[in-house]
Amino acid sequence: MAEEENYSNPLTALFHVLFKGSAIAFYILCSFFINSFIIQFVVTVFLAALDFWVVKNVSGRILVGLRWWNEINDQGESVWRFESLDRESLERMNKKDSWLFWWTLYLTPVVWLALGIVAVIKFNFDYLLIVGMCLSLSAANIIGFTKCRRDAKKQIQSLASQVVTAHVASRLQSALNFV
Amino acid sequence: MTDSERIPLHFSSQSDIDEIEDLLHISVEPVRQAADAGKPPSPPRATIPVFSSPPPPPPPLRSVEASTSGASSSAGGLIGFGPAHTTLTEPVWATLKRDLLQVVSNLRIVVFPNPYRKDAGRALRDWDLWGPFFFIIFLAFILSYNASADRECRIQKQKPCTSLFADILTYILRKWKVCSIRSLYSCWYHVLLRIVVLAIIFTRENFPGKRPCCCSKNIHVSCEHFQPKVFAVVFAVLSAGAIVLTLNVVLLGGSIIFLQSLSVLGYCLFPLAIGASVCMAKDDKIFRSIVVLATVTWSSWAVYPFVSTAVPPSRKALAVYPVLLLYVSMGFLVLANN
Repeated sequence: MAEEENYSNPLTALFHVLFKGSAIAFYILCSFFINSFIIQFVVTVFLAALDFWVVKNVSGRILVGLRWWNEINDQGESVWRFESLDRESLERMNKKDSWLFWWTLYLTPVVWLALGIVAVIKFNFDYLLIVGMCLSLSAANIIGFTKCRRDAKKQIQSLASQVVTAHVASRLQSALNFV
Repeated sequence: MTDSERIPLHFSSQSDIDEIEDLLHISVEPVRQAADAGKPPSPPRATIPVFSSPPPPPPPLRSVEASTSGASSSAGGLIGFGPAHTTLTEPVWATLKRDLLQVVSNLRIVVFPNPYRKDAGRALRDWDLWGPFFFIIFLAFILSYNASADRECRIQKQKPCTSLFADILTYILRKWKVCSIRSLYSCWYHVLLRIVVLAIIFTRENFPGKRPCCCSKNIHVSCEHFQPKVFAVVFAVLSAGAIVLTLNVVLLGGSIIFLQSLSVLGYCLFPLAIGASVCMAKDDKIFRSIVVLATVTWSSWAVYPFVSTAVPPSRKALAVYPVLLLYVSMGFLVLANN
């Protein structure tokens, strides 16, 4: 059906790509127009930080149904939490949305790495700062979401096995009751 | 019937709005109460509930689960995934609001006097890095404004050199005392950092390249008020310094959480940022000295309990001294900025 082939959350997908793309575009194009390193730095890093926030809090939730965060429990230890939707909703997620999400998530640090290599070749170590910040922000999101996805798969498997055993046990019980 | 089948997938938008409003009311109140009474509770926040059995806490706005779990009674663990246009605009605004409130409350806990600073680890439980990010950018911005060309080049060479000597001295002193290998390594981190900064400055001086730098241009250009070198150096020193200082505490055998301590060190830059902006107003040397002294003292007072409680008592000075050194160096930069 035509419905399933379109993006089901076009606005979110747009925002997901918008900040990443504009950070990269600004970094590349800015030196042609604006002569100030500081403006370039602040705007690029600000866009990258916005993108980090949007991906973590909005598009991760809506496009792939995953969420991760870190908190400190009462004993003072840092705990990483992962949460995801249940299996039916995960399966109901739009395939195009999740394809877009994961591909742009993994592609961004590759692009930044290439830009960083260019900066090193040009001996522009100031610009390495920008690249470093953007790389660390994208890496944080990648690590968080990958771990979250693995955790979700594990949970689904354990839940599935739980369901199966519960089902078998109930069947056995009803069979025994009849006997 | 498993619990997963009981959790509906989609929410009606009306109940989304109700929950958002509930959460807003609830999240604002604990922050207010924190100023008056008890321990500052972390504002109840929402999570996407999991598909397993324990009754999941309320919905979908912010990260971190509600530590005050009874926060929103209406939600009962439902996911709000409505159509994009209703959940994208409102939650974004609400989430932004909550993030800002968290920054303010963290700032209040770290920098201003309040009774919860004794229990340092629990006080900044809901750390965040947005506050430190803004403060570092702001401080670097202010310090790079109107820094005159030849002076800032001189300052950049001086500051890392003196810090390098200070670190080498610390290393020698530590070696003479009986101390563990790990604290020697932490000295090496400081030394390496200074060497790296010096190397960067050295290459930039000798291989300027095609950068928009005021030093290589005509100084009489009127629109070039900002010195990119100072900005970059301040930013790099502050962020790398925070990382190195945290590593220092860890290597001294302290129990500290990496990101939490980064957050603390960043928030304690707030007095320096205020001092820098006040110093911009007036050019009087004595006035600036007083302001810088006051703000450096304030920063050091703010950061002291967090760092000193994290390490064993015999190593307290070794952990606190580099932090104070960093803030004093920043104070010198503010003072010398003209």
